[in-house]
Amino acid sequence: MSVADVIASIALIAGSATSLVAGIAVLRFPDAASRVHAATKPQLLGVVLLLIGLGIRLGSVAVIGVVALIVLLQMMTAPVAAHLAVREALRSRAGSPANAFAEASDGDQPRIARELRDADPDADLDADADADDGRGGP
Amino acid sequence: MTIVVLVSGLLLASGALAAAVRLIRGPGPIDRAAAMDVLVAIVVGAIVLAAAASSSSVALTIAVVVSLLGFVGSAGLAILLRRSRG
Repeated sequence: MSVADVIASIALIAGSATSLVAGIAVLRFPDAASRVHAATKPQLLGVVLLLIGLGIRLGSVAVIGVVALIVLLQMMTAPVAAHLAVREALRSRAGSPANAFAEASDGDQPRIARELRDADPDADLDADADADDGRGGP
Repeated sequence: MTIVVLVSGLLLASGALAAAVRLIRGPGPIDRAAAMDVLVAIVVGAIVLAAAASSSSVALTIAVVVSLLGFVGSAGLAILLRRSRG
């Protein structure tokens, strides 16, 4: 087993492991945007590592040409598709980033909304002023 | 080399299984599109792995076509969702 075979084997296993990690991340991440972010990784890193392993193993000029073509196409298309998907995911939330954060965690939505309101001093002051006006009115 | 191909195939299959679970369960269409992207990338990787295992470059043309089909599917779904929302 020569040095080139060892490098090709390492590249093949690393590319497959990247795909496995991306699959687990898509399964376990909590948000649509973060899932798309995780899904972009095997499209470039995993495929490129596998193609590097293949190119080292076969090593002919025609194979390296097709490998370069696939890498170039993945580099052009993967960010465009991810950008379109994430933009659609964020716009379908229909509202401010505060609403997006509050809806992102469906488990403890009131706590997140309260923290966001407390973190924004202007909104907090306005809410208190409105409450005082309502209470100290007629 | 056989052991390397076996280990890589098992890793790819595990990733495809996790992505398929997300494809079935995913609450929104964007989650399913992300899972589909991972599945397409794993299919391209499996074709490349098969080409490396058999030391023939015949299947690489299929990998080019599948990678382009994955882009068309994902981008088309995003554009279709934007158009249907109005």
